[in-house]
Amino acid sequence: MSWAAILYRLLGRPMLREPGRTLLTVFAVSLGVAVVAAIDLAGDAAAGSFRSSMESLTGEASYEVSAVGGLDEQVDGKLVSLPYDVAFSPRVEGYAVTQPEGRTVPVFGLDLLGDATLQRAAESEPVEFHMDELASDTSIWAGSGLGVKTGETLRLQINDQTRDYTVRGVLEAGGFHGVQVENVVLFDIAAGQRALDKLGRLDRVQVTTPEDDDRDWEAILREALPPGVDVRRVGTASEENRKMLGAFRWNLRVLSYLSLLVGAFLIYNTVAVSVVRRRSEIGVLRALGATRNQVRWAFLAEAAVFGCAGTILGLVLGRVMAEGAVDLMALTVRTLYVTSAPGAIELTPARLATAACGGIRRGAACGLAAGERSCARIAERGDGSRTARV
Amino acid sequence: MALIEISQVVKEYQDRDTAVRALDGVSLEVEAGEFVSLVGRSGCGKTTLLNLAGAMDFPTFGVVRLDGQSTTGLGDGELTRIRREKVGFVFQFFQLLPTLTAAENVELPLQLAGERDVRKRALERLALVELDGLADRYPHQLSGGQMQRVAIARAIVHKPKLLLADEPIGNLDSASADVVMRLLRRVADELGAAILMATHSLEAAKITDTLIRLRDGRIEERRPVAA
Repeated sequence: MSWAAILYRLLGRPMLREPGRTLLTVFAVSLGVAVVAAIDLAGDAAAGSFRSSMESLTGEASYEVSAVGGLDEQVDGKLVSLPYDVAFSPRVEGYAVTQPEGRTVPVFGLDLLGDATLQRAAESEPVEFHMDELASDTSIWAGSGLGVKTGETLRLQINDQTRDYTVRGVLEAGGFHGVQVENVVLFDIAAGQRALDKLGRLDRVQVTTPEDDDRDWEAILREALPPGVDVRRVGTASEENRKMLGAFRWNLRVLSYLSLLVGAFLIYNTVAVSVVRRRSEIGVLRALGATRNQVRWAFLAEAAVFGCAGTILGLVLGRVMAEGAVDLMALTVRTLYVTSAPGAIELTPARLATAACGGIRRGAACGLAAGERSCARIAERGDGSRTARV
Repeated sequence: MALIEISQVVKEYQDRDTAVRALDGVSLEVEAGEFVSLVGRSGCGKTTLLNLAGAMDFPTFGVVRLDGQSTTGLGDGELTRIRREKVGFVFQFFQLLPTLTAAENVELPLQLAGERDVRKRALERLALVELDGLADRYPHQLSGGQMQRVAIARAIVHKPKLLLADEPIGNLDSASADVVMRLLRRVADELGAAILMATHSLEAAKITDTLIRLRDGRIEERRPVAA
């Protein structure tokens, strides 16, 4: 007869005999795990696409010209008139929601005739432009991930306007330079400005300088720009945004840990109550020859069971809750930090293992603490009638 | 050599700022196979004496020797081993574990000691207390008398040298109490275990070998019980 069998008789059977209490405890623990898992999963999904959307179509640009609230498009005119062999790529950015799927996708308005970016993005299938297509407000080029073909219609909601757009070309999955473009929608810049309600405005201008020319391009560009317009190396803004986003996610994560704390307290409380309820049983076990460690391990095992069951259920619940949380988080991320679209929620084996270890560890720690604290108070006398210390 | 030797034992409990003396200079020897009853009013020190004899507690002063070994200064592991091998407990309220069947309750001390194939011995002990047909019943399916007999079977399953019984019939009707007392008598006679029994019942004490009357933590009277 193994110790596990004894544990089952002493602890497993009471759990099965009181399913209401057992389920309530497991559910309470799982809620804590679920909230943390949901926040983590949703945070990843909400911020995960940030990278692709911010870096999409950056190409080989070295610098980025931008300003708070966007740029006047005349800035691009000034830059183009500079007497240097430098390429400028003005762009507008935003988001659209596909109808009726409700999927949020990044939208870019680029100078498709003057910008080689699109050709690079669609290098496996060169895109041909026709002036009448470019001039049309309803022409778009869509990523292959959107599941549309050339010539088909895609209904998009941009800001408060819903319209049908004609797909003039499909951007292949994989994109270029490892940057995913399969979920992107492109407009010619003029059409993009109208669609995004940014007439006369630009969000940024990408600047590509000659590789073998090591002049101080940042200073040169800054001199040509009006006050309030900034020049930065490409990626600087992304990095800052990433840091802000990281801080935001930490904030949420710490808040979610509160629920974990509540879950841990529930395990602690459950085991403590269990110890108190069984004080006479503990006394009997000690009188019958159970060591202090055997009693301690029994309560540790009980807490671990609650921790395990709560973690497993919590991960399932967390996955479900993440579905609801991701849109809310993405909205916050978009509003306060960067333009981004939620990506897929990924419950990876590594995340599962981490959460499982964490849940069990918390359960065990709480069980040990409660068992230790409570056992120390328990009368060793079998009937619990008098406190006697052995 | 006596199985239990208690020499000039004082036991004090701390009640807030006041020290309460539960036992005051008690000396006592119990031989193997001797059935001793401890009688006296509530609070006179009967249970404290049982605790000390069963290595459940330490004396404040004095020495308690169980089978020649002093319990003072022993660690938790050693005390547990003594209880596991040499002592059996019977309680007033039976203290059977409610989630275990009668047979499982009886075999528990053996399992805790790490022994295997214990069911046969548990059933033998249940047969000794004439409950072999109720091995698979849970405590709530047994009467008070039956529960106490299961508790006795559990207390003697590992053949202890000392059986401590704290008011074993205090919660039983007279018919069940008679059965339990006769059973304890058999344990002392057939297994050779020394029994130290705390009781309020002078009627029950008549079946024992020796009667010890405690009063205010001291032994007031010790005398053999007339057959």
